[in-house]
Amino acid sequence: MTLKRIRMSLWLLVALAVAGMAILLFRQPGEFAPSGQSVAIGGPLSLTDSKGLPFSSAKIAGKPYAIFFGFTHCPDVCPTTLARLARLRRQIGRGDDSFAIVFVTVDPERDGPREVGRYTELFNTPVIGLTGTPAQIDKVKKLFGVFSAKVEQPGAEYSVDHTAATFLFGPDGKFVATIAPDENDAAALAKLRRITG
Amino acid sequence: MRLFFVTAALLLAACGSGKTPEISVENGWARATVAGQNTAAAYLTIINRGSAEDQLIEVSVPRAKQARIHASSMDGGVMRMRDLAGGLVIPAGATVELAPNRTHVMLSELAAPLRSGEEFPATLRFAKAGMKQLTIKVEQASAR
Repeated sequence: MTLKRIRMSLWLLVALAVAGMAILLFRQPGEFAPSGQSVAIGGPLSLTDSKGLPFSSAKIAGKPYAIFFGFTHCPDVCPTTLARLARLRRQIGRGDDSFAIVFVTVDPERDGPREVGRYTELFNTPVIGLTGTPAQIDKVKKLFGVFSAKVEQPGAEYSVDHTAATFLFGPDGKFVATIAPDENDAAALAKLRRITG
Repeated sequence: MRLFFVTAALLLAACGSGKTPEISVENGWARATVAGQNTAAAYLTIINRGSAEDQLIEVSVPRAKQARIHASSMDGGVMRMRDLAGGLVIPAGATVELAPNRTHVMLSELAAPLRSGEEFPATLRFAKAGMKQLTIKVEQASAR
């Protein structure tokens, strides 16, 4: 009886450990980041802009920015996220310079500079659209801990599963927080105010 | 004449199981798209004022070659989008919203981009309530 009980307790501990590891593994990047401290998220960008010209982080140096990874054939979460960032930037009311909105495609196969450029013009506010070679995109995905994977759909064009968080960086270029799509506007706005000051 | 049939249908329904769904659809909207971006999401509200559940089985939109009922779901920070196999259940008395970042009608192979201000029809087929018509209004991409 006691032996059985000990064995059960041990199994319970194992289950707890597994659950804990699962949480660590599947949490969003940045969720554990203490405010104001730099963690290893982000890094120098070396991509191509919507005009086909090289884009480096120097272009947005000294400016806070919100960066989102998606693809132009994404019908739901990508335009919803960009529309919300545009809306909240208007709400902050300090102009388009209060923070930059950066969109990086995780689908360079379909999204060249022209596609990314046309897409970012949809939101009636400046959005920096970026693409790159598959190798460049892979590199930037690693820097930000972004996951993406093609999903074939029967009888339709492929879709892409992807990390849907928006990453926020302060004017010093340091990572501050992420915004998840399921967070409400008030929470998102409070986080944006942390980078706009 | 038509009223007669409607009344007869209602009476028949009432004599049957006594439980019927009563479906209405409203607030159809979609974001504008640009050339090259040949997919879009349409959103709408489905209200079931009846006493039985129903199921949205199919959507057809002449404006797009394909319309599929899709669910977006967050899984460990990753957004996944999948076909809703078996349709979307509309419980008795429930209001089901197809809204951004959740369930939507995925329009693909758009013949031309959706322009802000444009309107187009959609037909929704329910398992019990049959066909329902809805107008989808195209809004500026940044409208909401």
